[in-house]
This record gives sequence, C-alpha cells and structure tokens, in this order.
Amino acid sequence: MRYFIGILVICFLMVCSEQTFAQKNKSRKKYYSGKELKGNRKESGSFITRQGWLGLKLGINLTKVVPEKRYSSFSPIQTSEISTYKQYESFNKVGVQAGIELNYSLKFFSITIQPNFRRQIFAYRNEYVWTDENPNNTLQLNYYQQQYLDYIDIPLLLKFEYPTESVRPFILIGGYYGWLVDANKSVEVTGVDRASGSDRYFEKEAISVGAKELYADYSAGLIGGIGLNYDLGNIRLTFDATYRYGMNNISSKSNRYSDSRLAGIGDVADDFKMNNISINVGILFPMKFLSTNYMATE
Amino acid sequence: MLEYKQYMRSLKISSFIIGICIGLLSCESNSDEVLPSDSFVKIYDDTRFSASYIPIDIIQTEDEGYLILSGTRQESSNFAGTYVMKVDSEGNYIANIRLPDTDVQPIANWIKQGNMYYFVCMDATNLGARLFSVDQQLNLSDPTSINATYPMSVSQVDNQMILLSYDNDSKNSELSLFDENGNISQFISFSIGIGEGIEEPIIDHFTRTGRQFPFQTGRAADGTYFFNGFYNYTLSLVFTDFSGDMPKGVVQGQQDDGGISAILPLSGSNFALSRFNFGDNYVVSQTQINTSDIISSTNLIGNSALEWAPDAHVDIKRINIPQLLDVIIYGSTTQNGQIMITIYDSSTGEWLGNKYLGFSTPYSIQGMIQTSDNGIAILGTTAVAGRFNRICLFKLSSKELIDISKQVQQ
Repeated sequence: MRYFIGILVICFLMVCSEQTFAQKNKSRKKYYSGKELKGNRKESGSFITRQGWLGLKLGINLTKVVPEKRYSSFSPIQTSEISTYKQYESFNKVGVQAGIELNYSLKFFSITIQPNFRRQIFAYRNEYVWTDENPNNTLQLNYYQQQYLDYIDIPLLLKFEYPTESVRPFILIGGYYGWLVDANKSVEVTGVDRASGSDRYFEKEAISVGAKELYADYSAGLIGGIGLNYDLGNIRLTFDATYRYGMNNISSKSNRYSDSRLAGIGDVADDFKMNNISINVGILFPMKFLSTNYMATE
Repeated sequence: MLEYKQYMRSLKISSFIIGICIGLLSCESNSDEVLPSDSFVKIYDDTRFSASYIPIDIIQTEDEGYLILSGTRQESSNFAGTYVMKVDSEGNYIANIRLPDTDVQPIANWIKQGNMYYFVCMDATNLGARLFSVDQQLNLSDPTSINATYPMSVSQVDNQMILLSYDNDSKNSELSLFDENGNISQFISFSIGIGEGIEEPIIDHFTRTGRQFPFQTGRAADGTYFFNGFYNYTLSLVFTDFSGDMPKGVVQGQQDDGGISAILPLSGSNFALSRFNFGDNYVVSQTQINTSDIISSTNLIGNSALEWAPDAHVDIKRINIPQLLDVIIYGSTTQNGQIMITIYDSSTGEWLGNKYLGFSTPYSIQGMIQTSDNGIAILGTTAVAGRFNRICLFKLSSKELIDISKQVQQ
C-alpha cells in the first residue's frame, strides 16, 4: 500500500510523457482541428485538446458507514446481541474538503489528480436500559457518538468529457487513497432516571477524545461521478458530484480496545467501510498559458 | 486515424495503471492483523436493575474460552449467591448457571483436574464446604461435601486441593488436603486466639459487612504448605508440613490491620509478595523467606504502592514466554478506580512497566491468569453507569505485555 503514491506519480508521468512523445511526433506533421484562431492560425491540438489545468477545489461530503463485523465491549447476559449494535446514521453529517486539482486534458478524456484535505463525519447511537419488576427501578442511557476523520486524500481519476462548446459534461472514474492525519470523537450521554421516584432527565457533560489510534491509518477505494466544466474566458469552472466506495476496513484491529475511556462505556469500533458522496466546485487555470494567439472571447 | 490510436493507447495505459492502483487498494495491509481473541475488553451486562455481581476467579478452558466464577448479591441473605458463566475465546457471553440459594459464598480458586473444572462454595444451612465441578460446556456435576466449614480459599497442589477454612466452634483456622471426591488426606488446624470479638472480622468477611481478607493457600518451592489466614490473633502467613501442633514458620501481620495481601512462591525460598499495613500497600517483588522462621510482615520492606487503594485486592502471577519474557505481574486496584498492572523482572525484581485499565467508571481487579496464547486475562468488576456492579474481563496479548515491559528501557 505504501507504494501507492509512487504508482500515482508514475502513472501521471507516463501519461504525460506519452502525450509529450505524441506531441513531438505531431510537431512534424500538421493536423487541423478545425478551430480557427486569430490571425488565421489553427489550434492544432496544442491547447484545448492537450492542455494541463491547475486549480482549486472545495466542497462538502456526506458519509455512510457500512459495518462488516460488529463489536461491543458490552456482552449482555440476557438480551440478544442486537441490543448492543450501533445504530448508524447515513449521509446526514456534513464534512468538507478542499484541495487542488491537477488536470491533464487529452482530446476526449483527461487524467486528473486531486490532492485534498477532507474531513468525513459520521455518527451513531446506542441505547441501554436497566429495569426490573418495579417500574420505578429504571435507568435509560442514550449515547450519541460523532466521529471526525481527517484525511490527506489523493484521488486519481479519468475524466471523460463530452465535447461541446463552453459547457462540457463529464463522467469521472478512478480511485483514491487517503492518509489519516487526525481523528476525534465526541460522546454525548443523555438519559432518564426513574429510580429517584420521578422521571429525571439528565444530560452528562460531553466527552471529546482524540481517536486517531482507533482507526486505520489510511482509507482507499473507488470513485465514480459526474460533473460539468464551464469555460469562462481563460479559466474553467468545474462542478462535480462523486460517489466514493470504500474498500478497506477503517477501524484499527490492533487498537480496537486501546482507549479505556471509550471501552468503559461499551464503545468499541466495528469493522466497517465508508462510502461517501462528495459535491465539489472548483476553478481551474490553464498551465500552458495563453499567448495572445488564443483569446477565447475574440 | 493516428490520433485515434494515440487516444486508445493513452486510455489503455491510464486504465491499466489505475487498475493496478485499485488492485493494490483492495489488498488490505496485514500489519494490523490482530485476532479478536488476542486483546479485548468485555463487560457482562445484566439489564436487571437490582442485579449485582462479585467476580471471584477465572480459568481458561480447553476450547480457549473462559469460565468465570462469581458471587451475586442476594436480597434474602448476607451470603453471596453462586454464579458461573462461560464466555468464548473472544470474551463473548455464552451461558451461565445460577446455583440454588443454598449454595453460597463461592471462593477462589478454580481448579482443573482432568477435563473437569472444580470450585468450592458453602452450604448456606450447615456452613459446610461443597465441591462442585463443571465441564467446559458448563454441565454441572453433583456436589461433594467436604468436612470443613466456612471455606475461605482453595488451590491446587499436584493432583489434590488444599483448602483453608474456619471452624467457629473450635475457633481454629483449618488446612485440609483433599481429592476431587472430597476425601481429606491431610489436615491441620491452628487457633485464631481466644477471646471476645476475635472471630468478628472473619464473620464480617463472610457476610461482606466488613473488610475482605486476602485468604490464600498454596505450597512453597521447598514443599512446605502455607496459608494466609488468621492465626494467633493476627492475619498471618503460616507455613506447615501438616505435622506437630505448631506452625513451621509464620509471617505475622498486625492483627487484622496488616499482613500479606498476596504471595507467589518462586524458586527455593524466594517469593514475590505484596503486603498491607494500616491501609498502606507495599510491593516486595522478590524476597527470601525462611519457611521455618517467625518474622513480622513489616520486616519485608518492599516499595510503597501509594497508587493502590487501601487494602486493595492483589493478584500476582509469573508469566514466562520462552525467549521473550519472564516476568512477575502484579494486578491491583488504584485509588481512582482503575486496574493497575505492574510488571517486574522475575530474576532481579526490577520494575519493567505499568499499565492502567478502565476509565470513567470504577474498576477493580479480582483475578488474573496466563492464557494459552501467552497473554493474560484479568477478571474484575466495574460499576456500569456508575451504579450497576458487573463482571468485566480484560484480555491483553503477549505483544502488549512485551510492550508494557519495555517501559524501563524508554
């Protein structure tokens, strides 16, 4: 897995060198794209069809957890094990991401690498009840736990564009690899205590703990998505929505029980994968910058 | 046409390399590979509001699971009920047995003989000791009565068991060597002293209305049997070879305010032990005791264990992982309600490392064993939600033990 970044770089260089080589060959021959430029010059594939783009990108994301194997430090001696299952919330906590996009456009598709910082958030809840024949002897505790996972993330994507004029729809396909740089979790405890003779609702002070060691140090998976490029003058605005399909276990097997603060309240991470919906906007600038030969508005 | 070929070639290369990347992504790193049975924390919750558990001891079974012996709080009696629980190798609850209300006050330790696992509890009516056995599927056999009352502690010596008990008619501490059929082969008794109130702490121990004393039995490396119990007005470590009227040797405590809290025979006359004295605790990670001498426990100086709770329960085990680790592990409970594991070198007695277990709710230790994978399992109790006393089980892997024992090098 640690070779992944090397492979990413090699990948990008190979594709670029392929195109450079192609361009060298191409320089000996003259092809016409049909796009006439100022002064009767032709585009000849050097800008629109083979252009590097560099820009900024940011957006929001929503995460869904897919548990694979359930764990809990509580092992009830009467009720079925289902009572210890975490009830995950899906796609309802908004995370953010921001980074750069390096895009190398070919004639019908682009290869793009999009290093970014991303925070993914998900939440789950547990409920425990202790009672007996006397209904006054009842205690109900509700644990609501939010996890914040921060990654330095490197998606590598192929972008297939539909070549129209200024608005260019595209589809994206590829993979991603993210390094976990930080993780935190907060635990809110609320409950009802009837043992005092009446319903006493209470809310304990929230616990917030660093939790990086509880999670795998990377996240990886597949990406598919759709989007639009909009050429505005010499810049390109880009909008996309992607679905990230997680392929590795996000929790750390070796450190599952390492945090006594959490294990003591029954909280132990399941084996799980993360799927994610991301919505991004970006602004891209051409890398082979413009001469006055190309003025899109002229 | 040439452009199309170049396009297809680029697309193929790009797709191929992305495919490789995705293939690599789908292969999870195995550096994080830890089996669920290697390390875990389990709290055995009972949803009944009034339930309360007093764990006693734990033993690992042939199928890698565990049997847990526990007392349960009873509304109709001061004596604790008897509860046995089976959990699997990952600590997940499997089954339990609650003995009738007539069988109360289970004592440490579990004893394995053949395929059966033995434990001792007390008949609530005649206060006699009763020997029960279960197999690893938790099938309970008919009990056997032992000719002893008020059982305090039992342990295994070769193919036999050695029981410390108390006879409140003669006011004697009694030591019995018996087999799995309850037949006593050797017996000796020593007076706890004569006078008003001498036995009161013992009775309070049984009814759990007073201090819980660290009763213990065993055999030293030189073959001398010992018990930690009441003798001659004090909580004493008494050595005997089942002959004569007097002990062979004694480590005297301070009435019931001081004495030995746990002891582990090492080799020859070497022992690892802990002691308490008016609420203070001391670790004596290695010392020599002549089993024929009479000394005071305060002669065994040791290091002050200020973190331990006053009169904390202590368990000591020797863990030997060939080529990797040979240590003495002390388990006790801290004043702030955590279980504390302290590791010492078995040959020098040098401190190697600490680990604290449990947080936010109070935890206390009750027992500790070495597991078949060279880890340790630590039995304890915790107050779930700050009020429900429940059994808890910590499992530490051998790797974790090795990591803890490296603290002295850091």
